[in-house]
Amino acid sequence: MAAVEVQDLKKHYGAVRAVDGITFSVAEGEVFGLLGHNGAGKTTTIRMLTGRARPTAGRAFVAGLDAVTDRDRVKPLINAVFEDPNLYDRFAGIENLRFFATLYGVKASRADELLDLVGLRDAAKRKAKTYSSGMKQRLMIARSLINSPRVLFMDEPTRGLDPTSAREVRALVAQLAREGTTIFLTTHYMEEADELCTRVAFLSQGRIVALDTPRELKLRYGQRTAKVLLRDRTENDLRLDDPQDAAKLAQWMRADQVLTIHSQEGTLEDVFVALAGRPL
Amino acid sequence: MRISIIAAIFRKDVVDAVRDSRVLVSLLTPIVLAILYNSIFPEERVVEVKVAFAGPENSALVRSVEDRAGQTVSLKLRHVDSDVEARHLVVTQGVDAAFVLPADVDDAIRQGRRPTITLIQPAEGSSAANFVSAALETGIRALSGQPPIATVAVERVQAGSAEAGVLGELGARRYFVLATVVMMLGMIAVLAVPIILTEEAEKKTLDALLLVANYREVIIGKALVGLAYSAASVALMLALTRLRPIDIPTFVMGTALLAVSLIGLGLLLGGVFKSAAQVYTWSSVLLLPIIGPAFVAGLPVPDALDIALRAFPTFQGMRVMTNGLAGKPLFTDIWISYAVLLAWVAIAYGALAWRLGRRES
Repeated sequence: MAAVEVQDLKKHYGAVRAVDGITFSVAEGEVFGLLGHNGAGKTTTIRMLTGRARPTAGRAFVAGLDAVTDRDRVKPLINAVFEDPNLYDRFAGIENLRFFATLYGVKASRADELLDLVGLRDAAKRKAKTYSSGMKQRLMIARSLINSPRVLFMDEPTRGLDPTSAREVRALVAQLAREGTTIFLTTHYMEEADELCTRVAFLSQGRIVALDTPRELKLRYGQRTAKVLLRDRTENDLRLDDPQDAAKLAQWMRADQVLTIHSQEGTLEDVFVALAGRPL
Repeated sequence: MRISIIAAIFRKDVVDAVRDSRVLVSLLTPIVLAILYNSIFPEERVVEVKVAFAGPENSALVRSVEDRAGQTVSLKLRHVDSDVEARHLVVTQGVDAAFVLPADVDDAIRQGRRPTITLIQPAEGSSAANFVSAALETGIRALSGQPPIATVAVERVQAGSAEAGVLGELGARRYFVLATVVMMLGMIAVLAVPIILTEEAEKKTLDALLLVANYREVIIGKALVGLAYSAASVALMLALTRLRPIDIPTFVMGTALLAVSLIGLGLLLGGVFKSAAQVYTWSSVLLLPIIGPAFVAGLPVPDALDIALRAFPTFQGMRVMTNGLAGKPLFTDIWISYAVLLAWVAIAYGALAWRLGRRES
């Protein structure tokens, strides 16, 4: 059974087609990335899958349950980390978690476990408004795990974080994935998707324009290139699929002019540019 | 609908709201105002009379003095051991007047033995002594079984407008303190409740909440917070201002209906505004037409304005609460007030249900 299954899902706001007939499925334990520009429909898709927006058409199943008609049964099985920090500022970190523990009907001690997991034990009694961006993000991740969700939706979980905090958050996501949580991730950061996701889908104007593993997408849409350093210390970028560049490389090799060669596979950024026509 | 989720949201908001200075101001402002009114308006209708008496404490005459005091006289009755002590208290102005009853006064009156009851008053006389004298005379007549020689029929006529009569009957202190009770209900409903709802949407905590709860549970949780604050604040205000409703069921019913209808309106407002700052700004403007009618409900106003004001829940709520406070129908046709309040409840929660239905779709 797929953790998430989406069939021709649409969400229209008047004439605006925020999501325009997308179909995909996410396997249990998979880290699935949904990539796209602002306004491509990523957040709207998550809103529909988490029962916070009703689709205009199509169907969505989460953990085998209809995300619309079985919304109340889906809710205990999922959770989400949101794009913007949305904590109760006047509550301490531990109070934030305990409130949601009560809502989900889980033991209060779960809140303490999660504070340990995200490394916020020492700041447990500080009001959330005094937390740094990274701490807030970690607290939101802790909150999203309060009910041990089968499917975790993460909407831009590292947006606006400094590199260290972003790395910590990515490490947490990777840990959750190793422990078997299905993760549905949206992000602007292609390196992040490349590092974390088992498969990614590119969303453009509400439609999926490509869906596969990062490696396959890079092979299919990326350009194979090599950076060649010659003995005269000149550096040359060559496209390996270009016959002229390939011939040039062969000639340098025969003349023993090559000092080093660094092969470079395409990046997801390249794939995105190739598909969407502009970078993120 | 899950009670546990509603209860969790309720508990969270009760704690969170008092940590918000804006909500705290909306709770404290009317209380301060009520205390102010309470101190600047004297209780015109209550005269304080201090009386000492010697003789049997359980005499029917003592009870007749107490009964006559009713609500218009604040009687401080003090039993002393002897006529000497009673006289001493009058001389030293410890009391306004005193009376001395023989040991078997009740039986003596019933048997027609004409006992002597001594009324002790200052040489210049006093209204307290007149009050005691009249009360004792009534009691003596009742004990002796004598019918009144004549009946004094009391006819109350409307002097000036009816509303002036309400203010006169209730007294300025009780009237304006009651109006501030309505003001507080308005501020909780139109300021505090929308702020706690709008803030959830503004700070996007509502998104996290809606992952587990549904809109209805969130709204009910917020409404209960408003009701809890209303109930606690009204009780506190009554205690601080010594206001004692005589017809408690009517007072509670009027207060509850008004609070429920205003909170419904507040929740609707909370859905309209985008930020708590907007609520704070615009609700302050809206408070005037919402609270204003309560203050004029018992005052003389032109007929056209009176008819217009009858559509306001605070105007009608004030009428019901006034009757409850006075323990008598100072406002007549009170069923109209109940009908208007119920109509507001239906309108507010009907509109709220419609909005929630749209949101959930």
